[in-house]
Amino acid sequence: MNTQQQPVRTLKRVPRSPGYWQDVWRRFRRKLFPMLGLAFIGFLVIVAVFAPAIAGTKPVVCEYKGTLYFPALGYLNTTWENPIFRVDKFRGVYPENLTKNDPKAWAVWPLVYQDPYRRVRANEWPGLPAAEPLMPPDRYHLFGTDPAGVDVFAKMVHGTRTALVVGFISMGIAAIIGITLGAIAGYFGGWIDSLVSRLIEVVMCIPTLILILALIAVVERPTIWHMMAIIGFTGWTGIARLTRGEFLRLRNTEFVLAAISLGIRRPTIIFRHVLPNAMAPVLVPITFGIAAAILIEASLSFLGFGAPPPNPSWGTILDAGRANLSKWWLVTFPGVAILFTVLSYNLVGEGLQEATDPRLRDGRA
Amino acid sequence: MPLSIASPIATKPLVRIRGLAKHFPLGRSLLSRGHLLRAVDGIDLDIAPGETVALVGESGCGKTTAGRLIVGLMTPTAGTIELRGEDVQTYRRSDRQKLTRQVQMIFQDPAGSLNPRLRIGDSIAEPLRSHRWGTGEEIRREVGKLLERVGLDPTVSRRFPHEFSGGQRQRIGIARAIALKPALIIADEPTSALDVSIRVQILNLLADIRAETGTSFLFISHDLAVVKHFSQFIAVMYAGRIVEKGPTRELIEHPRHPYTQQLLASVPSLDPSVKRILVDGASAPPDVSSARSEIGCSFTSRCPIAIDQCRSITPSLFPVLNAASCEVACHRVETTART
Repeated sequence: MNTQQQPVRTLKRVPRSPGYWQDVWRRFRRKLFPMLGLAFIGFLVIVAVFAPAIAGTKPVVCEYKGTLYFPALGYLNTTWENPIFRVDKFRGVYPENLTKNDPKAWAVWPLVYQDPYRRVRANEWPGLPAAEPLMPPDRYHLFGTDPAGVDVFAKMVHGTRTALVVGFISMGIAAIIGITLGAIAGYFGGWIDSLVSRLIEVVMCIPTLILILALIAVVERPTIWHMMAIIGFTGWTGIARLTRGEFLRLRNTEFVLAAISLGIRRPTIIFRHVLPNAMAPVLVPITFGIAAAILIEASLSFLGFGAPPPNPSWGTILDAGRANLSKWWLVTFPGVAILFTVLSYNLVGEGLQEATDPRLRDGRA
Repeated sequence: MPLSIASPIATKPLVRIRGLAKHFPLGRSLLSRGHLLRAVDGIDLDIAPGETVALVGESGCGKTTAGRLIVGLMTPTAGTIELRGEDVQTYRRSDRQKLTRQVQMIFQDPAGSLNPRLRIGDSIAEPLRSHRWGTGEEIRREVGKLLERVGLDPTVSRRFPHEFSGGQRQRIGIARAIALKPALIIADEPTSALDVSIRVQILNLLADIRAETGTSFLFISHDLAVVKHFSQFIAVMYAGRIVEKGPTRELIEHPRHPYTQQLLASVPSLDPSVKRILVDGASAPPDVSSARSEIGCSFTSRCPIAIDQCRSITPSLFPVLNAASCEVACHRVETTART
């Protein structure tokens, strides 16, 4: 809105004018609720990435027998915890073993000394009482404990990773399939289009939840990755339809015809002229899809078919709350977390829709 | 613009079009199968090197389709397009570059023909890059020169199309079309989306470019007033066919086909004493679907001088008696057909 008012004279040294996405960001930034949603997702990403440093019983950094180690990485991937701690029989209890085996050892500890996988014993950490099953929130267990005596706060912090990864991976798969097939159908048309459209209709008829339940019954050790794959492989239809529609529309626009008549190669036309113009509307269902995927994962975990038990997931905490309805902290904290996460994605999706809507853009040009 | 009317050019034509036709199927159901929209229905046209030919007609007469056929955006149903004696349809896909290097197009809607996501410098550079014209630095310098050539500041190359006015966007479109120094530019109503005041500027720009480079133009327009200053030769199209063609002055001063006469009469004049006659039945555009009878002159229903013969025999183009440079497709005009 403020770019056109400069006098012609100053055109001499024009700044690089903002690109399309910069422009979208500028409009997105002005909206309060989408920005709050985005901020909450950013907060979740930080929590997920730094989960082992926020809650855990393994040092973030420690010096042991003259070498620096990062045992907390074991929470992200068990093989990243140096084997020396297993050889030296740490059994997960770092504070006493570190000083017992190497008096000169030092360590930087997570903010909250609680473990998402096991209950802590008395005096594992100086002054820490032993965790009992189903303890209400107190100063040692911020969100209480679950029926196994595991700290709910630690479980939730580590479960954030699951929630985010489910959303991103399953929608990543869906987006790759959906955009590719939709683009092919829309650009080439004809029998290819009919084929893809029929495929979309067939896949749309597959109920995701039931397919996942069937898979769990068949696969011996279902993991969260199976679940994400199924959500991804069944959730691409909306994205494909939208991409197809955009490609159909853009294929006949004058700038694409101009590109063809200028002798520009087909890959360049598809990737430089059509795809970037089709991306904005497609981004919106992807955002909503992430929210839906998180909900599916939470529902499955709630039904007891989710990530296998050691995996911390918000849904499994809810599941524990189902059997212990009087223990309000088992339901409230994960429930609120799921609600706000899904809400955030939906708000961001809506904000994107408004920020990329060409009808709202035109008032400016 | 003083323009000398080109003497009949003896050299071989740059473009030679014979029997060019494009039919679109109408409807896909079993009942309507076989019905065709005859957008272009057999046109013959020659364009000499350096010559500007205008293709004139009302909307829906197939002139845009004709332009797109020549530039290769569509495949014709029938007929041939020869470029310097070579049939362009024999060009394989890899050879399409050969065609696009020589034939370029300027589009009607300057806003729609520029990719809104590309900075205009990139839009202009794209044909150069695609045809491996030179190194990145050479191309950047050339883009600057092209922008200057069309009257824009080279520093604006980093801006986006929506930051320009309609006239400026059309200049960008022209810069892109002349980037590869084509032998023929097809200008599809390049000025009809523009303000009258800007129209003249764009026409002058095109005329300058033509004078400098000797490029041939196929100027597609519905506006005879624009065309008569810009082209040396005019072909009038009606319902997919050329009904009259001839050198500009001859055709403007002595229109022979009744449609051309009506078209000329509909051009507004600055002289209030000249009464403007609207084309009779202007609300009824020609029916180019095959629902109409395929026999007879398609202009019959709007023609003031139609006779029975017009409904039964389709007139073909024949040179006019006493003015051999003009050709008319009308039974009521004295042509060589009758001698």
